[in-house]
Amino acid sequence: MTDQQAIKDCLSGNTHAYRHLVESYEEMAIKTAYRFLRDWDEARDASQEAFIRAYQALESFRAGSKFSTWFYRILVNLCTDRVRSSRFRKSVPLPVRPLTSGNPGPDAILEYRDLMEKALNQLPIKRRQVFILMDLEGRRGKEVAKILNINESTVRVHRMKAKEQLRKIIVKLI
Amino acid sequence: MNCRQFKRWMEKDPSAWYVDVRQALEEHQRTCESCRILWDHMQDFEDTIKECRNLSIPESVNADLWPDVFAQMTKSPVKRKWIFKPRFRLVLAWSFSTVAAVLVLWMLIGNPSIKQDMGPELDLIVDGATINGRDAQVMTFQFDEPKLSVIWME
Ligand SMILES: [Zn+2]
Repeated sequence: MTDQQAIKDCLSGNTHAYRHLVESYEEMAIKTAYRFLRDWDEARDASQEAFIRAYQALESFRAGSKFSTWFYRILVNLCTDRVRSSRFRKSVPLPVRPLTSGNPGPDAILEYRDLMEKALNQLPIKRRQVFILMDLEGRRGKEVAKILNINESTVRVHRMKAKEQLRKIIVKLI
Repeated sequence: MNCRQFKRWMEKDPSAWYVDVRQALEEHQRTCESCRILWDHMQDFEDTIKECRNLSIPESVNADLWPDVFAQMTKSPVKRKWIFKPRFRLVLAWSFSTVAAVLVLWMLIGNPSIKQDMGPELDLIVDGATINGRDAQVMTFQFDEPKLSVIWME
């Protein structure tokens, strides 16, 4: 069954057809949500809510466009709203000590992973969205532009600035 | 390239390095120990980003969302969308009311053939009747069809 067929079936009253869409994208949705929320339970909850919102708004889905892009827009907006809420607002302090005593290598990678999670919180939301979708999820600029409903050139600018901001943090810590 | 310039370029994303800049950076890090450490760290950082793409959901998290989603779906069905946007709905409603009003007026006063036809065929029948033990006048205005009856209770 294709996504388009599942949507068509859903709109003609067959609610079970929605299962195809949920099962096709649930894993990616939870992972994307986790990258924003840094909490697996929250990520699961946000993904579930995104699927319900998408279902309720299914009639406004334009035939011919990709369900995944439309759905991820709903999911990313929902995660962004949660990130903006007071619970996620408190910023995690960055480490002040030098990274792995100046020695690059496998230990440094583990440390960077932790550092990047903290540093991501310091990025403005659009830069964070672009960095997560492009660099951490490997999506292409064109798709990210569609998900975030912005120009491809704006995506490139946000990505560049996000990378620079993160690299500056690292350079300062070495 | 000196160490200060090297550090500045290190802060920029590698995609922003021109070919000659990249060559100068590589050359500098080969000859300068402290800049080489920074270079290696930034390479590790780029590797970390790539590595972060491999994310797996822990087993403790139930990734099967369908049962919960389905339970919510039955509570809140698809929101039906109007075919027309609100402003078009208003225009549409106005158009229909205007057409209906014009049609009624035309039928009542504008079309003499209807008036002429109505005259001779109108019949008024007045009858006396007893309804629930009370006297009543029943007036029936009869066109061909339909019939209009007025019951007058005394
Ligand atoms: Zn140097």
